[in-house]
Amino acid sequence: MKEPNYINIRSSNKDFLCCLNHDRMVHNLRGKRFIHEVDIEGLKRCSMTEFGFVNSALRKKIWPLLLDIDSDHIINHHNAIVEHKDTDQVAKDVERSMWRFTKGKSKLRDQKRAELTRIINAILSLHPQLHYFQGYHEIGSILLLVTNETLSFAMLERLSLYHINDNMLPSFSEVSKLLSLVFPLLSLLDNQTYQFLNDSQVQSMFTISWILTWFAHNFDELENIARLYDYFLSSHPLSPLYFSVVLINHFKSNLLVLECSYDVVHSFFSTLPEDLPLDKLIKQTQQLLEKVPPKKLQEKSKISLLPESPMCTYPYQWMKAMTLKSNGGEKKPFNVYKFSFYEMENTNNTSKTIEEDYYKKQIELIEITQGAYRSRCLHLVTKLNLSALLADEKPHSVDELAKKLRVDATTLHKIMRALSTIGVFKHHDQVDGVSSRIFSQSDLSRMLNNSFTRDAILYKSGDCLYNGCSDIGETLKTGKASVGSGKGYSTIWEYFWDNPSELSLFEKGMTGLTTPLIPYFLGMADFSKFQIVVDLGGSQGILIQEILKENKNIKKGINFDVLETIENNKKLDRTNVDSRFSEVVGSFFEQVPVADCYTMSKIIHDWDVIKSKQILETIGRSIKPNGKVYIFDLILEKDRDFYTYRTWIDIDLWHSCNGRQRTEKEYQDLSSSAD
Amino acid sequence: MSNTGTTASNKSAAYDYLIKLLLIGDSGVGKSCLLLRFSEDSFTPSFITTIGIDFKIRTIELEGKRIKLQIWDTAGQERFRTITTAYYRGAMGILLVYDVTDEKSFGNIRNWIRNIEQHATESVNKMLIGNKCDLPEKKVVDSSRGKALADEYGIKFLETSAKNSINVEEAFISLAKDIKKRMIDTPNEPNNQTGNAQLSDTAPAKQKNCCK
Repeated sequence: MKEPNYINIRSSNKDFLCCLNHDRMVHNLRGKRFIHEVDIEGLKRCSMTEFGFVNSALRKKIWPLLLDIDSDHIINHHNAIVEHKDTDQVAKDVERSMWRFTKGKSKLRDQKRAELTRIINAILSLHPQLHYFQGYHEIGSILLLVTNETLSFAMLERLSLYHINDNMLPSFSEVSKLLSLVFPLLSLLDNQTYQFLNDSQVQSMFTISWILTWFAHNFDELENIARLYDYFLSSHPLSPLYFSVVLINHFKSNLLVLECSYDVVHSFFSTLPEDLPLDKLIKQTQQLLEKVPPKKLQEKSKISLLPESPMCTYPYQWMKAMTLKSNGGEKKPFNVYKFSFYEMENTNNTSKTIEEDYYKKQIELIEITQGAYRSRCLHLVTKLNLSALLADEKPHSVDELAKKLRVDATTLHKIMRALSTIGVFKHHDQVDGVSSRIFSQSDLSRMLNNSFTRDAILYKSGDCLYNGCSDIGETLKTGKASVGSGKGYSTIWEYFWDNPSELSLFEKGMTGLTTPLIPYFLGMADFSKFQIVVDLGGSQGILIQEILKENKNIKKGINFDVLETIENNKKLDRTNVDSRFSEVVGSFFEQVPVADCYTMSKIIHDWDVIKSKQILETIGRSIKPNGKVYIFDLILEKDRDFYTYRTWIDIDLWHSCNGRQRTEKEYQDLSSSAD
Repeated sequence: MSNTGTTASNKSAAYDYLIKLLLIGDSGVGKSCLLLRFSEDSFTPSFITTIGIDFKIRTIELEGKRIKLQIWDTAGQERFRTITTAYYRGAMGILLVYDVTDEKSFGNIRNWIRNIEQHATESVNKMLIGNKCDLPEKKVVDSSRGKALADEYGIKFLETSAKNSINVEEAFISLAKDIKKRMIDTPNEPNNQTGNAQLSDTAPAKQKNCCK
């Protein structure tokens, strides 16, 4: 698995963890004073910080360190394998293992299963006192998928003799004790949650797969399990149990509204969501371990584990030796380094400011690149009509919404959460924080229930313009609009004419964009003296219809557009349209109907100076004496509203059809040149 | 709505009676697959080991009554028995499953029955299931032996295939029918004295060392 180096920077506290596994980078940093080799205790602390050990490459190095595996001296386990009492059971379980993590990779699956069989059988052969349990193979799977066969053998052997040894005794008597510690520990964490579970009469049996497999059985994402293993391998062998209790309490608010019965509660915990805030839960687990150490838990609950149990003798002898070794510098723990900004601050104040400033600026730049996701995600939720499901203004769970829309809930959760940060949807994160799955309508998402806005968004973020965006480099090179040519047409217009569904999206989009502006047009223009008014490039004809509505003096209102558009308009409902309204097919570069007034909304901005002049000259040949031309376009001036927005529209127009946003003066020049 | 013990009057009114079933048998005989076939009518080759105990729900209609079947599925490995037997007591019916291609799983049925005798209520309905009958070329347990064993214990017997959906529906529904007959239609007959107790929504037996 190829994964990038990762530098984990947390500005909230002064510890910076830097895990580098490229010699080159280590080399570069080695010269600086703030670097020193990490000790095991440092790694353990690191397992509780954000992202744990981050990726497989690092885990492969760090996990064996935590278990004091000397990778140069691991025995060849292949030779150790003999027939043992659980050979059949192991075969049956391995045969059903690792599906979740090897989807579509049957070769990898077969290979890893063979490895898993070997390491388990080797360990059971070498240690006949160990009794295999169903679930043991799942721990082995995780070790194998993250590291390799040799290391996994050594680590699983170590775990079998220590951390999970109680599960491998001849009977499950100690496992029963572990299960019966769950509720007492919960009662010490949160009495209300405990009381609810107690009243439901549920048994802690629903935690058994959590505790036996360290959650390997319970997540589909290897990354989630590996993150937990970072912590469990660094921590007290009871930490999976403590984590289980923290996890139960994490769902407190969801639990308390459930029917208080054992089957409902058992079923609630039978599947876990993939997007749990693991880092936060791990921190809470550690706090609970410190507040109620295992010894205290046993006293309070009056449940005693066997005194000789590895659960009671942690930390183990070999761990103490390991700390000494690493402090004494006899053993070099690979290329894992830790530096802290606390030290840097003491030695060099300015470098901290520079680093943080650099980091912030880099984020600012990267946020700009996220624009594509913003656009696509807004497009998706608009297309799905998600806002309609929130129209009742009540909070809804993302799971319910995903079910209705038949989409993946985890992805939808991420999309809605991200969109909520830019005002689309409201995220109810007061109780559960960022992992809350509850959303409701916001001012902006409510707008998506308006058909004009929806049409405008579907056009502006639709495939034509969105995909066309990637050709902007071509426009930069040639100065010629490239959206059309990128699709194999000479202009975007020809692309539209050839693709009726795209044309229709464009037309609807233009209606959607124009409609809110019509009252402004009508307020600015005076049609009281005109008999015939033509809207040139009127698309679906919405503007001319509104002009007719407001001006009873007009005898005839014509919507003028190309053949393809007028043909498309035949599909529109025209039953209640004014009898003075008609449609004419033509090109404003050739000839337009005779009239005393012409309007053009968002037309001239599509054309360069020469083409714009041509349009005005065509009009000049047909216009009646004392006639008038109204051009409705946005003006690009810095002191006007939405300057930023207009600069991007300017690029959009330029790249799609060599159109442009013009300054006031440019419009004046244009109209006087055509007079 | 009827008013006998199992009624759903205090819960969602989507069913008239609740019947609890339990699946037991050796590891790998196909208990989870039978349950998946019955509850969701599907089969997946990518099944995973059951760890501990879990359940699924399916509501069926029997003679005009809606019966909610709550079916508990257990881990097959022997060492799990000590902790799963707590769930035997609440079961009204138990499906004992073996694999027709696995002699050992058939031989172990007697052990499983002993387990039932120790931990389940006396009148619990039982059924013997020989699963994987879609593999005749690998079959080692002849149907007649399954039938004979079932007869010996006076229980019903069916050969099933979760993979090809053979007799799965029949097995669960026939067991549910027998339970309905025993507990709901004729709850006061002498051999059903414990019936009403079971009809109430009993949680699995708590472990001794469960705390306050």
